[in-house]
Amino acid sequence: MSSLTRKFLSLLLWEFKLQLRYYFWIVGLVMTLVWFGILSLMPSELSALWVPVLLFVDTCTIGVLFVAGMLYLDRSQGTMDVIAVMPIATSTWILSRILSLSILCSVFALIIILVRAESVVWVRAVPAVLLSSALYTSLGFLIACPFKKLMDYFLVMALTIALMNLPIFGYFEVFDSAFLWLLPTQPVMKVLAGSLGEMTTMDFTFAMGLLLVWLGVINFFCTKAFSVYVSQRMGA
Amino acid sequence: MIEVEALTFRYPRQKTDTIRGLSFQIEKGEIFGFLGPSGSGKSTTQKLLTGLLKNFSGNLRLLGKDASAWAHDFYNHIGVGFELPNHFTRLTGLENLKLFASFYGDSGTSQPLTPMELLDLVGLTDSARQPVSEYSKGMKMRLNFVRALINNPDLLFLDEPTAGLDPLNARNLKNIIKELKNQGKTIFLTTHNMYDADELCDRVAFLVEGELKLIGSPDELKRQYGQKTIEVITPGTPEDKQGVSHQFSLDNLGTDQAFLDLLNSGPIESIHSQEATLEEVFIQTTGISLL
Repeated sequence: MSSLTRKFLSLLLWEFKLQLRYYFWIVGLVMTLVWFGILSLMPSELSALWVPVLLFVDTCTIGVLFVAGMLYLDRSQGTMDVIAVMPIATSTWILSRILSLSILCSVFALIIILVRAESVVWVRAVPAVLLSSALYTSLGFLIACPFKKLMDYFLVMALTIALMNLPIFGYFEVFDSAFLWLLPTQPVMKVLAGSLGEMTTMDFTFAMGLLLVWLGVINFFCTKAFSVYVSQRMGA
Repeated sequence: MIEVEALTFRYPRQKTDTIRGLSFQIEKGEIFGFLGPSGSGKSTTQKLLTGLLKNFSGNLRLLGKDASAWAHDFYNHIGVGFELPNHFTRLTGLENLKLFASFYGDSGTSQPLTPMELLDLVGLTDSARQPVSEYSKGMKMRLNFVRALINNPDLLFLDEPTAGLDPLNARNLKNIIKELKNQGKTIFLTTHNMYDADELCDRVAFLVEGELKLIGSPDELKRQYGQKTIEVITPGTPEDKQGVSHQFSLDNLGTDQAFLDLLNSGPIESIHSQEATLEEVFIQTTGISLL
């Protein structure tokens, strides 16, 4: 195992430890139980229709909120300053944070699928949920970077989430437009729906490919935003 | 270890330079004090030296290489102790050190002290498994300090290392700094504390509004800016317990008859040279008080 891989795995383990100490896993569990409660109130045919939407909203909420929370904690504790003078690339640290939070989101999303979904294509569902969580977590990281106060972040986050949730209308065929494909969350909705329902392999692969491209683009900007809004403003 | 030549830096969207043409060198094994009032550019200079800020003009060589030639492996060789405590407060002191030690991996840098040994060094053994949120400020500062040593760095940046420490712990920490110097470590010490600077530093630099006003060894500067006289205090009258002060020039002191007569005339309470304190040197040089 190379030194970089070992460092990355070690970082990942510490991220999980921090998530546990900050009760993120307990909050995730409580949210999942709330979703179960909501789903149990629905008739089963309605529940099947709503599970992909619920996953879409769940991964979004957990990812976007938790990553901002972690970033805020790092800022308030000053630990970001220390990480900046450690022998790891910023992009590696960002990747470990996004991946660890994505795994957290995915675990709860997959529990929902396991318990409530009826026709699951697991080879699609697992990567789809993981990449969807990663996209929302990355998006949350990108939006959170410029804000020093969590409250300032919430307003922008709410507007962003409102915009990013538009693909739900496409899913319910209330409003479908090519414009939705400009949103990074459109492939998220597609792959989640495609994991739990009918979708051709080509369509699913296309949506996954697009999701990967968006992930790459957003992570590129995450590193840039971190450098501009966090690293260079440390102690200022 | 550090070579700085005409270093100039301006933050984006600012109209004036924060750092203006700094030039200095720091040798291996030297403790270099960087002194200046708040807002003088000390932190910015440290950020430039630690590679956190780029886009400067001038030349900067660190550990024998041009600053631009260093990548993240630079941080294998340096340790940074920040002015304010910065820890993961839900983790214990020991976990904090283990976490940051894991960043170094097998970097090739020797690591003679384990996290537990480092905690022992600053008297935190008993609190090793206590969450940092329960630490006092002094304990957090001691943890800050030993975290900077976790990779056994060749070059150490310390920002106000004794701030918030009681006299006993401050003494212990200064002894460790001296020991590190004896081991050949180079230390860049940023401080407001003139007593620490005087005791620890081989040389000090005074920074005001981004410009270096003076560099020299504390002893040299204190002599240079002090009066070349001594003050002899003899007992005063029973009513005047402060004693009587007599001033003599250091020039030809051994043949100064008045001085010799005073020594032979009766009891002497004290004799002091009249060298300046570092704070007086700073005020004389810059016209600004550090506090």
